[in-house]
Amino acid sequence: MNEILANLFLGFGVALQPLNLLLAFVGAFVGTLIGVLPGIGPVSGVALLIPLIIGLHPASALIMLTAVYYGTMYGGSTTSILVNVPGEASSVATTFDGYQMALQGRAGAALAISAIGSFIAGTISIVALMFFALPLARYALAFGPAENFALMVLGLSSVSTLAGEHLVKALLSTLFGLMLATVGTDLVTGITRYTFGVPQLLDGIDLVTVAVGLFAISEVLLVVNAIGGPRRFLALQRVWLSLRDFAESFWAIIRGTVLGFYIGILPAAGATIASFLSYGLEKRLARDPSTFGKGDIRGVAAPESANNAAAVGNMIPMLTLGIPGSSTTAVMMGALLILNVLPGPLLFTKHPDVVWGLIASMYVSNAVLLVLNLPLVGLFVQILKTPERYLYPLIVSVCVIGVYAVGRSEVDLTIMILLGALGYYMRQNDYPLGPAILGLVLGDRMEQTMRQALIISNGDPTTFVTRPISAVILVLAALSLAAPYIISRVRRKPQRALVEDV
Amino acid sequence: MTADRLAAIVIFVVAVLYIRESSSFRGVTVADVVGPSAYPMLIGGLMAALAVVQFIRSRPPASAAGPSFWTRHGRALLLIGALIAYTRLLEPIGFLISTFVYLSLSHVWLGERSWLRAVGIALGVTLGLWFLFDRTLDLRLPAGIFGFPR
Repeated sequence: MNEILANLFLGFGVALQPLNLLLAFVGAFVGTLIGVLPGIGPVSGVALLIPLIIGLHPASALIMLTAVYYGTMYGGSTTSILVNVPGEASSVATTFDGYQMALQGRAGAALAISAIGSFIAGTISIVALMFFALPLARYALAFGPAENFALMVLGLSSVSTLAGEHLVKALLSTLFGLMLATVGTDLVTGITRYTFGVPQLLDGIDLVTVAVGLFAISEVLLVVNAIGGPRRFLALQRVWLSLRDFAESFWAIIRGTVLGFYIGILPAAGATIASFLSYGLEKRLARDPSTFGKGDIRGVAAPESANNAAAVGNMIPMLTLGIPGSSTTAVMMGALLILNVLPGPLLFTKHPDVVWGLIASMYVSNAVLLVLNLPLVGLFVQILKTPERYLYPLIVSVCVIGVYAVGRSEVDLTIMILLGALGYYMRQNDYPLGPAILGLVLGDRMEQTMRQALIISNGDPTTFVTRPISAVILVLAALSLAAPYIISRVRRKPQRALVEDV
Repeated sequence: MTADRLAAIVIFVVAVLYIRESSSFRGVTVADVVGPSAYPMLIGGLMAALAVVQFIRSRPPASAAGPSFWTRHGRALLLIGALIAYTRLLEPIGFLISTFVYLSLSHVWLGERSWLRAVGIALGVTLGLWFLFDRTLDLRLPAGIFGFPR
């Protein structure tokens, strides 16, 4: 306990430095902007900011990216409520009752409860994070290469299971990401692989390029077909919440927080699943479930709290095991790797200022978003009203700038366009995009740990199943792949998968 | 042939080429018992196997008749073409001119009726982006033929 307090003290020391405080403010604002804008979601949004954080201290960089991540969640709920367009998959559940509330003239209350619910959820989960992360990190210190390899297999297989309706397509997407990761110089032998004589590929394909191409460019390509359709905007009065509204949604917020946090910890199960499950839970617990979908405030409070709690829970596997739980945390982990900080159990001993600075800055971002967003909602609505014919070309230019800034090379831009076209095809044919990003981020380390484990075992591949912890993790991975088949057997009618951005 | 089957064939070919390329990797490290080609072969092998599964399991669509290929993808393809032109011109003629031209044309293409407004907004946005990213955040965008002293 004392140790946690001391660490937290250290963390606030880092987070409250003027520069870091400023970065949290800027990050929260830019993140909300990204969340409100169509086309750029949290994945490509966080990726586009990577060029800007190179050169910053890792703690400052992570603080900014976390604030951005938080901001995108807030921004996403704003558009869910006001325009019925979820900014990202994890705020889809918010549209069910949020938009209905807006239609009834209660948009202000919906926005307020979403901000307050997120704030409460975020604060509680950060406390839980502190208590969970340290023991888990200590435990994970004992992991060797074989166990780490098994963990990555588990992370990738559970992401693939949860990522969509088609397991085969999700796995193909994962393997595509792993394939992209093998491009470049092999770290063990120093030989080049799959560079085809292009010098710009020696360092591999950049994460920013892939994230922006696959997520943002493909989205714009998809949207240009539908531009010019009618959009409805609802009048927004004061963002305000009555005490009765708050009392009504209080327990929904608490339940959403607990559920969201636990789901967030699981590798791969992210904010999207958490938000849908907590919405379902509230509906089931309600005395009169028929009010849900017709503007019930609990239907906004629960998913909004859950997706924020899950976003915090998601940090646990990333920080302690180096296994990101969602595409967005995968991009954040990629950013840390670029800054030469390897997430994992050693992070807590090697870079305590980064870990605890981040945790403290989550408190700060939460507070910043609360004071920033309630008054600024009007501004974000104005941005939403910008005609699409101006918005999308601007978004494309920002993508071009961001990708160019990483390597100052035309090759990156060409790869971005190719991946944009591929992402366009994948989106239309039910290949989930998230697993590809996760594969790209984990690929290098997955190969390294596999080779190290085999060096230790003198080339004996049974090492992965004879070491007990590694064996258990691999069995879990196999179970996670088999789970959808078992469930659909039991339940006859397979349920449509809800997740897009795990 | 369904889209999924066609994709399965393409993926299979890519996986095979990927494996074939990996057989040429020669690494010389004493301790590295696995070598640089084993892992790519594993990934490529899994990918080829999954492509076969997808080929076998994909079913033909219930109704094949829909809007033609060009109605569905024409605008996206046009945008891809525009993007290629934009990014190719970025370094030779510079960020300012290429972005200004790209934005102006895009505005009109996406439904702006007034050329004056399309050009005006493009000019404002281009300069805004340039001031923000090049001057303020120091990302050094290509100056091209229209260089500004820094």
